[in-house]
Amino acid sequence: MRYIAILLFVVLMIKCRQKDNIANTDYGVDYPTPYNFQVPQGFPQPYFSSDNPLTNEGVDLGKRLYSDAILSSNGLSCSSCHRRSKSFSSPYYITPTGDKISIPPHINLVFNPDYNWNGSITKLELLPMGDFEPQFFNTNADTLFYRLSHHPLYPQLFFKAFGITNFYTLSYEELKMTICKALVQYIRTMVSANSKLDRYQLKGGALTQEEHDGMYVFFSERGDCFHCHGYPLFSDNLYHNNGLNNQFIGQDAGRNLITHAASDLGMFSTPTLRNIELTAPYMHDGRYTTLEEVVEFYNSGVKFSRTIDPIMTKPGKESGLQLTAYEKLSLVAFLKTLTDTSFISAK
Amino acid sequence: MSFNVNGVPLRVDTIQFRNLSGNSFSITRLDFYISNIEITSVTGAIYKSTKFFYVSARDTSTYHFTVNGLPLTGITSFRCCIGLSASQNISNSLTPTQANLNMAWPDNMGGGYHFLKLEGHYIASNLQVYGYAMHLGKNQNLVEITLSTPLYESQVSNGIKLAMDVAKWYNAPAKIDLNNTNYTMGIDSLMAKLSQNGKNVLSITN
Repeated sequence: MRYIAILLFVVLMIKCRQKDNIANTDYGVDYPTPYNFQVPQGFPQPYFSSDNPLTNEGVDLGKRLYSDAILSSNGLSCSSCHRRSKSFSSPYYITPTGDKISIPPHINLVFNPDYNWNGSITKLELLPMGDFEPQFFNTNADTLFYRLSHHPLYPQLFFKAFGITNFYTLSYEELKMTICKALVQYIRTMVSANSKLDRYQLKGGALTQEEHDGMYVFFSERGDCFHCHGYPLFSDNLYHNNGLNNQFIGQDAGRNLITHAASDLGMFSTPTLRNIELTAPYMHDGRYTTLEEVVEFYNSGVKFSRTIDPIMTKPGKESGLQLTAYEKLSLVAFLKTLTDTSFISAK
Repeated sequence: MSFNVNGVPLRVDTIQFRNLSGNSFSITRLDFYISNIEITSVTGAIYKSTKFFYVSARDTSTYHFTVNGLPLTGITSFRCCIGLSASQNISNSLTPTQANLNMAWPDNMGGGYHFLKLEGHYIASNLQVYGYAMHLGKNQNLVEITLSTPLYESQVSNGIKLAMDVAKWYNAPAKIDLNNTNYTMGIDSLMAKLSQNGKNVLSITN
């Protein structure tokens, strides 16, 4: 009887540690250890989750899982689609309803209040949950439990990050959420702030004349890009209708699909322009394959509708910016100064 | 702080309001700074605040702001500015909150911050829907407002209630017709008109 009581006590303690994510002690080391997140100069405060604080162990686990096909039954991992060379973006995805959606990059998401083009996700931890579905990882629950439990490293890594001693004490949903927490901890550390423009702004780096001229177009009424894509995030983290469409069918309805407000028809979350050179195709539906096409859209292809952003309807520029050929070239050159090679080469 | 258009409570995103020029318009965005608050008490003492406050009509959490050291007596006048004083209106000088970052005024165009972003749609004379963007910035366009509304001590015990009539940005002394003037940023003559009109947009409703 006494042994049963002790056993029950031990089991209860383990469960409590799992539920409360209490620091774990292994060989005299306390886990997990808080991650020292550095906010780059001039950046706003990041968004963290109180129920998923950044820890060294969580970030390390998430980084490993991000590139590991152990999560899938088809050999895919996050990095199969979110390729480093493309700033962790993915060209596009065809939805079950046939809509084509370009997948935004995993870059500076820690500064975003919500996610996806229409803001359908408001908690970053929920963003990877859909990846377990048949159209992506096609994860098999039994296989996932088995593989993780029998892996030479993951039992220890999950223990250190989340205090999990036995995967089988978790439900499948709990296991997926724990994996998502680890992935998101890693994603929150994916910060880009070392582009050529950053070095120019903060460290005395140089721009070419063409890039400098493009910067003028960007940050003046000529191009008027700055109102939505201001420094340093190059996104205002708001929703706008930039004049891509004047009819809003399917995914083109944008934010309206979430809010159902007529005033949100055709509005999309402003994407960051950091690493834009690497993240083609462009716009929510990936309709443009080059930056030149994007600039030409703003130059001559804007379509009017009742929700078009007021900034897009300046007098004399109702259908576009009417830039000169050189201004368009220089604007593209400037956009390429937002490429952060250290971000995509970091190990 | 509260918002109305010709006395009707502000409702964003719907074209339901009219200005003196007869334009039917909506408001999709109304963001601004309030600064340089100065209160004169019935004793003649003047209380000045160096604080500034970001207000967004879409975000009710910005409607309330606190100035310490207010007189506990009644007041004879209330002064404030819409915008930032020259010492505050310097690029990258404000804490980089998303709101402040979104109000940045490019260095190419003089630097500092937008004092005001008032945007929306209107029905143009050709009956098409267009956008308008009334943006105000640059030190010379700071909107200085004096409200000589005496308030008894009992009336200010719960604070001072400010109301902005958004239509007044268009009405006087410069009557603005959105068909002719729907974008102001960087156009000094238009921003000067907007700044003058701004002197009339606030009232005390205690």
